[in-house]
Amino acid sequence: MKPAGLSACVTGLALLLAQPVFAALPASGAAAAELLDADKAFQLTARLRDAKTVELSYNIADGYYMYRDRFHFAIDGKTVKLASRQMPAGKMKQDATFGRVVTYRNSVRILLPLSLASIANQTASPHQIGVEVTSQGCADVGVCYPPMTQQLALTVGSTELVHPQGEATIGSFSRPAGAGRGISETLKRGN
Amino acid sequence: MKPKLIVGAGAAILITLAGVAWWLDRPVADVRNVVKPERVEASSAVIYATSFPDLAGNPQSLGQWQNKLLMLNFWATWCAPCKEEMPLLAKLQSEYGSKGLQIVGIAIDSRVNVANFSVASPVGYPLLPDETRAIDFSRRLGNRLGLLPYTVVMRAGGEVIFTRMGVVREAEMHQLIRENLPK
Repeated sequence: MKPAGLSACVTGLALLLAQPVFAALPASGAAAAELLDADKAFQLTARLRDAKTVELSYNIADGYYMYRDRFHFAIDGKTVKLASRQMPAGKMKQDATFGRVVTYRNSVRILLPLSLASIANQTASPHQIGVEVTSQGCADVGVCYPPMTQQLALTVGSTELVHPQGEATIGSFSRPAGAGRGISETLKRGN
Repeated sequence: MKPKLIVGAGAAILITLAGVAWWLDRPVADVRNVVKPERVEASSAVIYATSFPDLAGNPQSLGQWQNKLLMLNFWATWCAPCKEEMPLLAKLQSEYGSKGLQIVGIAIDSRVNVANFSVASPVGYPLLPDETRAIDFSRRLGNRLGLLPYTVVMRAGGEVIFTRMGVVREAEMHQLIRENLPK
């Protein structure tokens, strides 16, 4: 076979072979499977980093993101002030409707200071610190999840990771801290 | 250079180019490929008996539009894709409103947020805010995860003919509306 003919054969073969090779590459997260429940897309854990600080960690699934300014935190029923919480810079995103917004992908770690009252209460042992977290995120495929409120209970003196208690509830950024409890709508249908 | 070497190098380049071309041309992530709305479990009677407050706080029954081609659009001011599709919905309402289309925006949001939005971006159809019941209602209309935006279209009389997770497409909406406007 002449080189030109051989080349054409190889080209055809190459085109056939290339697709499975590239198809094996991972697709964009949310497009690869069914959309996740909110608490699976944005997995939250928390721990007491020290006697004065709560550390929250989100594991954000591939293809999903969270808005930096869509968090609300309350500790022992009291809202954590914006200025006192430590959140990473995140990534600037140009949003068609919101303009420049900061988003988090993959993971995010947030530090919240305990109030003096919460610290004082730690003298009672065993004592638990109640943390309420409201967050909101979206999937790259073009849908957003409603705000989700989750409750966590941290035990004083323990630095173990804890997961949210019970089911996440529909959160609100216009309700006061603690109002997430008792809302009947849950983010999981039929559970 | 030997012919075999040329052929090998050419093949390698072609494999790469073919792969890149396929990668660029692969199906774009689209929510329609990811999550399908589930069965609408709420009956038309239940849907028409449902009310949500308007911006003045007055309850608005969906039943008042049972003789219209009714499009329920679940949205929120915090939902970027929702707000992206609203100019299209406003355009559809303007074009087909006199012919029997009624779009209703049910907002999973606070009244003040929606009121502020309606001043800044008037849409020409009712916006009904409800932070607590609206998501559950959308679930009963097939939106299991409570995602936004979510759109349901019902013929006059209550037959659900369309549900869409994510933004609607203009061409298909024109066709859907034209084919289903009340006679």
